[in-house]
Order: sequence, then structure tokens, then C-alpha cells
Amino acid sequence: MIVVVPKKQNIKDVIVKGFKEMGYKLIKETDDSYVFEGIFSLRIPSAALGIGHREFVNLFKEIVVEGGLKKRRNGVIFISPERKKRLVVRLSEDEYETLSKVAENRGLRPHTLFRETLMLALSERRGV
Amino acid sequence: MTYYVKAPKDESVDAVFSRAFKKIGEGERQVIYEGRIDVEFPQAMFGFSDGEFRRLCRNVRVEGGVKRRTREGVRFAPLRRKILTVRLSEDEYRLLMEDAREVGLEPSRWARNLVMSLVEQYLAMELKKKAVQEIRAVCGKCKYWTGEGCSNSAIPRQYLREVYGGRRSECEYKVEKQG
Repeated sequence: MIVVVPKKQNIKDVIVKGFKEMGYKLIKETDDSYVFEGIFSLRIPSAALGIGHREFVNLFKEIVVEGGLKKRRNGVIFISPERKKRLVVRLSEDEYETLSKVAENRGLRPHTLFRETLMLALSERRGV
Repeated sequence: MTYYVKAPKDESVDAVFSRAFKKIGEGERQVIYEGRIDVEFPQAMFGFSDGEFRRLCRNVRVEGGVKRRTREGVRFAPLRRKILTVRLSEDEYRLLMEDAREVGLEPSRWARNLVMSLVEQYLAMELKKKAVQEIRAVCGKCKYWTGEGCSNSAIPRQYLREVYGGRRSECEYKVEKQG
């Protein structure tokens, strides 16, 4: 997934740091933009950037994502790759019930817990 | 999900099956066991020849679960009727394949193991909670009880293990009651 982010003086350090922490590589830098390449989805909260709502909305509009999607909700920009593959895991009713309890304890649904655990395992092994 | 295994009556089969299953019924010719989790029994455990083992596998009936011959022996598992699906990008799937291949597993098997580790962690935590309740019931009024464990080093771990294991025996080491 390629993400093109406009270069803005007041937020450039936070942006570069945030993308790098999520395992993204800065593959190109021009006068106006940064081009990052990465695998995992990421979220950019407006609070972390320290900018106003209007500027945040403009930033969202200017971000270009190739091979993925961008979404803005409640002051957070979500960038995630296009997901075309499907992974299926079969569980017995007991196993599913226990997993549901684990998910409930964390305020999640079983499918979300599964996705988050999977992504955490994949990213942790790569030092992200 | 509980599954039931009906096996022909045989001492060596009983000795092996009783290790992982709960015996719930016995007739003249067959024994009924109850299982809850995946279990694999290697042929060597039974001490049977190939022919005898084949016959045993043929004669064992499973309700609510499946039996499958493996290279080593026979595997029993509950029916898996629930499905968890997750969508992945090509890159995420590639990483998953890499990780699974490293340990010689299929991606879905690797992901299943990951889910099962969550389930096992939860069950272990629940067991620990239960064990703490058990030990509290036995040692709660003892003056050596700190609220989390025993402060008396004279009480060997074996005793505490027994209590943690759920066996309520008298403390052999003269535990003093408060007051």
C-alpha cells in the first residue's frame, strides 16, 4: 500500500515518526509530499497532530492511498489496505463461547478480537 | 461441545482412552467416553499391531465429533460448527504464509493456534481464580495466610500444590489458626 501525504511544516515530524513507527518506509520525498510504503493499517488522530479541525479535514482530503482505503471518523484518519483475501478458522461451540467471553472482557466482538490478535502477531514479529 | 466415543470393551483401549476422556457408560461389549477437546492417540500407546489398530479405528464410533486416522495414530475432535472469518490484504496474507510456513503449518491452522492460545490463556486464568478460591477456603483463616499465599516457609510446596490442585487435605504442618 502506498500512502502519499502532503508535506506541511507544522506536522511533518509527527507524520514521519508515526508512519515509521507503523513499519512504513519513506520511499520518496518531494517538495510537496512524502510517499510511504507499508503493509499494516494505521490511524492518525487529530490530537496527535495538534492541528485544528479544518486543517485536519484538508489533510485528509489531500492524502492519497494506493492499494488501500482512507476513512475519517471522530477526528481520526484510518488508512487500511484493500483486503481481498479471506482467512477462515473453524471452532467448536465451546471454543467459540470461550473466545466470546475473552472478547467481551475486552469490549470487543470475537471477529474483531481475532483480527486484532492476528495483526498484532504479524506486526510484533516484524518489530512494528 | 461434548462428543461421545463408543469403543469396543478392551483393557488396553480403556487404559489409553481414560487418560483423555471421561468414562460415562459401560455395556457388555462397549464403553462410552465423553470428550471435549482435540485428542490424538499414537498407535504405539495401544501396543496394537497394524491390523488390530485398523480394526479398532473402524469399530470406534463418534457422536458429535470426528475421528481421523493420522500418520501416527488416531485423532478425535469435536465438531467445529462456528466460523471466524477475517479479510486480509495480499501483503498481510503473504506475511501470514511466511509465519505459518516457518513452523510448518497451513495459514488457517496457524491462525487457529493463535485463537486457541487466547482461549487457553483465559481458561488458565479461570482455573487459577478457582484455585485461589480453593486455597482461601482451606488456608484463609491461618495466620500464615498473606491474602495471596502462604508466608510459612516450613510448609512445603507439595502441600500448597495439593490445595491448588483442589484436594482439600488437612495441613500436615500444624498451621496455626488466628486467635
